[in-house]
Amino acid sequence: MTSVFKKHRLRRAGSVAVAASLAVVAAACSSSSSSTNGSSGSISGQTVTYWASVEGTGPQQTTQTLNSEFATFTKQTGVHVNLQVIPWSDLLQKILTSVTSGNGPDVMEIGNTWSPSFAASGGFLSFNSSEFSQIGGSDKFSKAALSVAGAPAKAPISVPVYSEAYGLFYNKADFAAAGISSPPSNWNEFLADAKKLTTGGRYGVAIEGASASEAAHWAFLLGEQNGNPLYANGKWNFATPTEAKAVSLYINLVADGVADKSDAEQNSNVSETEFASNKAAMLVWQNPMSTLSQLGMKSSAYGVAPIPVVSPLPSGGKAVETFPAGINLSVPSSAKHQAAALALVKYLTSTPAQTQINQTYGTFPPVLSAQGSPQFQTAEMKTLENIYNNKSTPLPPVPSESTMETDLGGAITHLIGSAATSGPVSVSKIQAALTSAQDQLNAAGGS
Amino acid sequence: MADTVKKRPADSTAIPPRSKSALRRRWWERPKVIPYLLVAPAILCELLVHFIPMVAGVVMSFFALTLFTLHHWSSAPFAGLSNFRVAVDVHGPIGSALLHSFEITVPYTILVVGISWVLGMVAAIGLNAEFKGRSWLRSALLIPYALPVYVGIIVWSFMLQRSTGVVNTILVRDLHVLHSPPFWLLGNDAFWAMVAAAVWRWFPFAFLILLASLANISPQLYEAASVDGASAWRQFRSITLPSVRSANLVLVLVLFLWNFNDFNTPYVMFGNSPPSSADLLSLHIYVVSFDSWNFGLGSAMSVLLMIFLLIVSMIYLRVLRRGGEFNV
Repeated sequence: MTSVFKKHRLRRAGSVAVAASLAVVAAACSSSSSSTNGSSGSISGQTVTYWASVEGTGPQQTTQTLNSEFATFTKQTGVHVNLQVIPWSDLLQKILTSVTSGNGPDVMEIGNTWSPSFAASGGFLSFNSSEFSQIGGSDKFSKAALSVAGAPAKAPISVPVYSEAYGLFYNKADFAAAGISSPPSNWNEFLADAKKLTTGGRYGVAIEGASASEAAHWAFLLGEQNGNPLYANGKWNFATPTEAKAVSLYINLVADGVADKSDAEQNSNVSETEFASNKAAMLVWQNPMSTLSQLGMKSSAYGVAPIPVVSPLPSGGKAVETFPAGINLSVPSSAKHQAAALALVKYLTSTPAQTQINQTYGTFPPVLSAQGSPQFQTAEMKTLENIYNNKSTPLPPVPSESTMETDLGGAITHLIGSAATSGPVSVSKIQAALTSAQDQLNAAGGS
Repeated sequence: MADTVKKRPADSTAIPPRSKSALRRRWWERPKVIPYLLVAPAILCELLVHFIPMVAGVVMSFFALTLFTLHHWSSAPFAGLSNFRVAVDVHGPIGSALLHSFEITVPYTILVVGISWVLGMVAAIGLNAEFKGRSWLRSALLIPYALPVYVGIIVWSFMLQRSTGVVNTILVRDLHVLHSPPFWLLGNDAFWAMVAAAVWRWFPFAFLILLASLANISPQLYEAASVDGASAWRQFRSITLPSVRSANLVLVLVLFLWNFNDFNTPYVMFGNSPPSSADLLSLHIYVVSFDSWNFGLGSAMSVLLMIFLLIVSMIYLRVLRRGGEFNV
C-alpha cells in the first residue's frame, strides 16, 4: 500500500514539475506575444500607457491632476489611459531600459534637456509635418519651448507641455525689514543684500548644495554671463580660469556665510522649505509657486525677479537668466498605439488641458493659445514667462548634456562640501576640479 | 511493483487495474528523471534571473554600447578589448577614477566585515548563555537585518544630517561634547558614516550565523577546559573558534562579497553623486553606465569586478581549506 501511495505521489509530483516548467517558460515568453499594432483604424477602445514625471506638489497631485484630464480625454475619444507616475530618481533609467527593450509606454514625460540625448538614441518618434498635423500643428507652441525638443536642426522628438524658468524669489517682509527697496539686479548687489539679510539665524539665500543638476545649472548661467559658454566649438569648454572664477561665486556662498553651511548636504528640494519657513530670505529656483503655497507661504509674501546679472558684462558675456526649462511629451518608436498616443499628445497640448494642468502645477503653458488665460497673468507668472521668452539660452543641445550635469555638477557639489567644512575654495582648486570633470566627460565619449 | 497493485483492496476509491502498457512508467515518472524535473523550474528561473543577464553583461563589455547604439543594440559595433583597456588605464581619467573607487572599496569592505564579525561574535557569545530576557534581546538584535535596506540607511542619513540630525543634537546641544556641529555626510567623514550604517546592518547577520554555530558546541567541552584551568580567552581560542570554523568560512566570504558589491549604502545615503570618500565600486559602475550612457564600459568594469571577486574567493577558499587540513 505504501509503495503504491508513494508511486502515485511521485507520478503526480512528476506531472506537477512538468507543468510548472512549462508555466515558467510560457510566462517568460508571454511578454512579447501580446503586442498589437493599433496605428490604423479606430483608436476608440484602446488603452495607452502614460509615464508621468512627478510635478506640482508631489505624486498625489500629479496623479489627481492627470487622471482628471484623462477622464475627459476618454470621454472624447474612447481611449483609456493607464497612468504611471515615475519618481525623478528612476525616470531616466526607466526610459533608457524601455528604449533598449522596445517595451515601454505609449507616451512619456521627459525633462526637456534630455531631448538631444534621446534624439541620438533613435528610439523616439520624430515629429515631422504629418505627426504635427495630428496634434494640431507646430505653430501652436512657443518657439522658445519648441527649440528644446530634440537634436538641433533636426525634427523634434518631443513637444513641450509644461514650461519653467529660473527666477530670484525674495521674501518681501525680510527685504522691507532690512531696508532693501528693490530686488538685486547684479551679483554685487545680490551678495551685499544677502549679507544684510543674514541675521538672527536666517540666511540671505538657500541653495541645494548637494544637487549636481542645480550646480550644473548655476555653472551654465554664470558661465554664459561671464562669456564662458560650457560648450563651444564642438567641445566641452568649462575647464577654464574664467569658468572657475564664475563658479566660485556659487561655491563660496556657503563659505561667505550668506547660505547655511548645512545646505551643502541638501539635495531633496530642502531649499524651498527653508525659503517658505523664512530660514532664508532668497531662493533661486524654477517655478516653486505651487510647492511654496503647499508649504504655507502666501504668494503675497514673496516677489519674483530675474536672477542677477554680472555687471558690467565682460566681453562675450550675455545677460542669460535661465534656460528654457520644462517637461516635454515623447512617443517612443516602440509605442503600441501610436495614433492613440498622438491623440493624447494633442489633447494634453490643447488650450483647456494646458490651462488646467499648468495652473495646478504652477508652471506656464508652452502653448500660445493658453498663455493668454487669466490664470497666467499674475505678476510672478508674467515675470517668469518674460525671462523664459526673452532672457533664456538653451543648455548645450548635445547628447552628453546629462553626463555633463553629473560630472561637472558632481565636482561642484564636492567643492561646496569642501567650502562648508574648510572655508573658501580657491579659484585654482576649482579649476583643477573642473578640469578633472571635463577629462572624465571627454573620456566617456562626451560629444 | 505490479504485485503491490494486485494486493490493493478492491474498494470504490481504488485505482482500477491497468493494462501492462499503462503500468509502464511514462518518462517523467521514472525515479531518475523526477528529481531533475523538480529542480527544473528553479534552474529555469536561475537561468532567466541570474545566468542570462550575467552572460549578457559579459557580451556587452566587448561592444561599444553607448547612447548612440542603444536602440539598435544588436548592431552595436564590436569594440574588442577597448572598454577593458580604458577601464584599466590608471593614467587615464576613467581608469584612475576606477582605481580610486577600488582603493575606497577595499578598506570599506575590510572594516565592515571585520567590525561586523567582532560585534556579531561578542553578541553571539553573550546571548548564548542562559538568562532571563535572552530571546527578547536576540530578536531585538535582528531588527537591523530584518528592516528593508532603504529604510535602515535613510534613517542613518537623517540621523547624521548636520543641522537636524539626532547625532549632532546629542553631541552638541545635549552633551556639549562638541562646540560646533560637524558634517558627517561630507568629505572624509562620509566614509565613516557609510561604514557605521553598513556595520549596523550586517553585524546582526554575523550574530545570527555565529549564534547558530555556537549552539552546537557541547557545554562539557567548556566544563572540562575550566577544570583544566583554561582561561576564558584560551577557551575562546581553543574551543569556540575551531568549533565555529566552518560557519565562519562561509560567513566571512559572503560578508566580503556582499560588502564589496555594496550599492545600497552609498546610493541611498548620497545618490548618484557621492563624496569622493564614499565612491564605492558598484555605485561608480552604475554612474558610468546610467549617467554616462556607456553600458559597454560599465559592463567591462563589472566584468573586472567579477573576475577580482572570483579570484579572491578562490584564493580564500583554497588557503582556508589547506589550513583546515593542517589543523586536522
